[in-house]
Amino acid sequence: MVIIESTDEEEYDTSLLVIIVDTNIYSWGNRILQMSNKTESTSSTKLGSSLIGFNTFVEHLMVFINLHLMLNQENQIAVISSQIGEARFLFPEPHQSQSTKSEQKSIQNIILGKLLHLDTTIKETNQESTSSNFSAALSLSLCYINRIKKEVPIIRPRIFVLNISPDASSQYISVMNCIFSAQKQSIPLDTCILSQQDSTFLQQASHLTNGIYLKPQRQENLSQYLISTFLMDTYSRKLLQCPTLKSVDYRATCFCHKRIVDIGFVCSVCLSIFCSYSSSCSTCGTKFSLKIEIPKSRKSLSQPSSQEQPTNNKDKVEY
Amino acid sequence: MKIFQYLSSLNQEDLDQLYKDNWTCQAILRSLPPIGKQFILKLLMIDSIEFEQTKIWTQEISNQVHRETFKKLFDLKLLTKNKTCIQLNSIFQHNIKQSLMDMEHRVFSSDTTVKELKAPTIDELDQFSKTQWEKVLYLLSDEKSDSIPLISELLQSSNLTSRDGNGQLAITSEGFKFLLKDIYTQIWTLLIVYLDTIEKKYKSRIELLCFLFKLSFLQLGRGYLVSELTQLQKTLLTDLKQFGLIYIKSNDNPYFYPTRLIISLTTGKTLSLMQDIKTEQALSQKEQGYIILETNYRLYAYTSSSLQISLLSLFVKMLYRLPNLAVGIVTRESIRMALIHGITADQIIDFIRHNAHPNATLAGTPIPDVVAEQVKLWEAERNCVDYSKAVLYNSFPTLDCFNATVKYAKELNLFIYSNDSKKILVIDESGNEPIRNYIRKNFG
Repeated sequence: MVIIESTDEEEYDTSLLVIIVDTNIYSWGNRILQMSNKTESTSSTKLGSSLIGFNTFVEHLMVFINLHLMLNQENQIAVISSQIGEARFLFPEPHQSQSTKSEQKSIQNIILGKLLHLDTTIKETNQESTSSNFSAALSLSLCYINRIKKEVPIIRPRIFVLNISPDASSQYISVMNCIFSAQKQSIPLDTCILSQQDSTFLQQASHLTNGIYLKPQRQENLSQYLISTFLMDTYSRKLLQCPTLKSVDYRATCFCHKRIVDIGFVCSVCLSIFCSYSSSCSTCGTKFSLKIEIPKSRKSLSQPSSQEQPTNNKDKVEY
Repeated sequence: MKIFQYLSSLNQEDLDQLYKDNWTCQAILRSLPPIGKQFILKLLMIDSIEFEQTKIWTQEISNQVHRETFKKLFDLKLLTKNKTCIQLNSIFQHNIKQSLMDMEHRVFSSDTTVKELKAPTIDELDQFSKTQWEKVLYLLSDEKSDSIPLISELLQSSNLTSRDGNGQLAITSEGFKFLLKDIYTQIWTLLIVYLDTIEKKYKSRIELLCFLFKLSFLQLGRGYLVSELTQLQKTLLTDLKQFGLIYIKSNDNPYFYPTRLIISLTTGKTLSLMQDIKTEQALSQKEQGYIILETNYRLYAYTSSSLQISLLSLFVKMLYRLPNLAVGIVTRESIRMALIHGITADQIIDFIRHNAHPNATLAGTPIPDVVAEQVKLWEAERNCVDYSKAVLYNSFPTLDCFNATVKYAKELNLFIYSNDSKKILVIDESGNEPIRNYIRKNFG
């Protein structure tokens, strides 16, 4: 057979989409409360964003998945749920490879079945922490992408996060590590925030990986947002206009108490961030010999110096 | 892609008819270029939008792509313009929306996918489609092979082969170009001709097109019941088998199997179905380079495929054939034979370059300069006569007049030929006016 490759590498839009769905039962439960409150207060705050419940959300998501698979014969999908304490694959199932999507009809059914199953398992586990394990979900998706990339080198991966829970600052380090690894492999990380608060983590994530960060104002039209923005493959993004973030919240979380800090201490050796002064770095073990007694004095030695006055916002962190 | 050109040539009614089929809509959506898909998506859920507003969809640097994509969508009648607003073809829009809500995705009803006892494996299917398609290509290059009536008819009506003086079928220049294209373009080229013949016979090319698109949604390695199909589709099935698009064991077998060719036909990608990409790449690499051409005009082809050898024999005089090697020599006669068939020197050189053995490419030039130049010279040899329109002047009154006119013509760079004893001057056609004026002014 005489085949002359005429593949325009550029026009290649086959993509692997890994969707991380936040299925935190508390957040979605809160959502129901918010929604019922809203109906009681009879649209006194009509300007606020309209909210949707989990069922409606899943419907929108299904349309989105359907359309993604329809766009290209070789498009692949993976859905990971980030829930309290753990992250799990909703699709594909562990021992089922993507290529045997023989029952494409049942992708939706598999996901729905798993989602139903989730609800009951969560009720049984009674954990203290109520935050979803987002970092685990992110690592899972990166591992999965890595695996698929080995099998199919030409596929273009991207991660799409649908988030509703607030940031868990305890996961800051692991999340940031994931973000940097995604950045290094140039995997865009898109985010759709369903709650009313912006997420610091995800803003940074989308910004660093050239992804799209969006907080839909009118959630009842969620599929329109999903279809018109988040279905853009990496090739089209170079040519089309994508929503961009005007300002990104770059605040970091301290390594000692996992608090989000505006101003803090930074280890001069390993750049760990601390909210309060200690005599040695808990990450790398460096001993800080200099004691800081006068808060106003500026000491630009190679030692961590303090900056207690909150008025000076220009240099958040000093060495 | 080839098929889009064809679809664009259809009229509104036919296209609307075509878009009534749900699977066709999906197939068309997924074979659009990426930007086209994105535009469709943006319009999918809305009724209409001002055309001006679509400008903000694309970044300014890619205006060109923006215009081209819109032109394509308009050509396919996927978009309609209403004064200043544009909207999606409503039938198409409706069908895509419908299929979004469809959770089942069944092309044919479920019981068609029952496993047959001796179902062919995927490898067997690949092998079948490959040999079948090679047979088709073989018909092009070798007139003596057993002909498949349908295919050779199609090849003729698509102008890829034609009868030469002796009534023998021979490859044309078009046919040679055809061989250089990728397999999906080749298949579509033939299918489009086939569609036209079907249109003449049954008036049902739209149904066939829908059927083709529908087939591309089937699963490789699965059997489907023939009895599910309409009568017309059944007849089409036997034709498609000859292309290697469909596999049926025998004509009365209840199951048919789609091959890789039909499944990836609408996407037009040689690299289909994920899991085999690596092996396929390895295969195609092996297949690609097999020719070593030496400066002494000897050509070694490391291949056992009789198709490739018969292709080469179009312009190479084959000397010996060994199990994995064929040796030939490029001669003036062999090249002239190819040239007479309408194959150009550039096509020959391109062919050798594209199919050069990796070692030949590594060593430097895949085709030695001396051979390439010689092939071009042999071509130029046939073109030694140059035609140009001219005007003849004769019966000049005096020798002076003749000489002066010749001199003037030479000055104006219009001179072609002159004969002093007969006083004949031939000049370029464009020079008729100035020369006539010159003669009239000075000697008239």
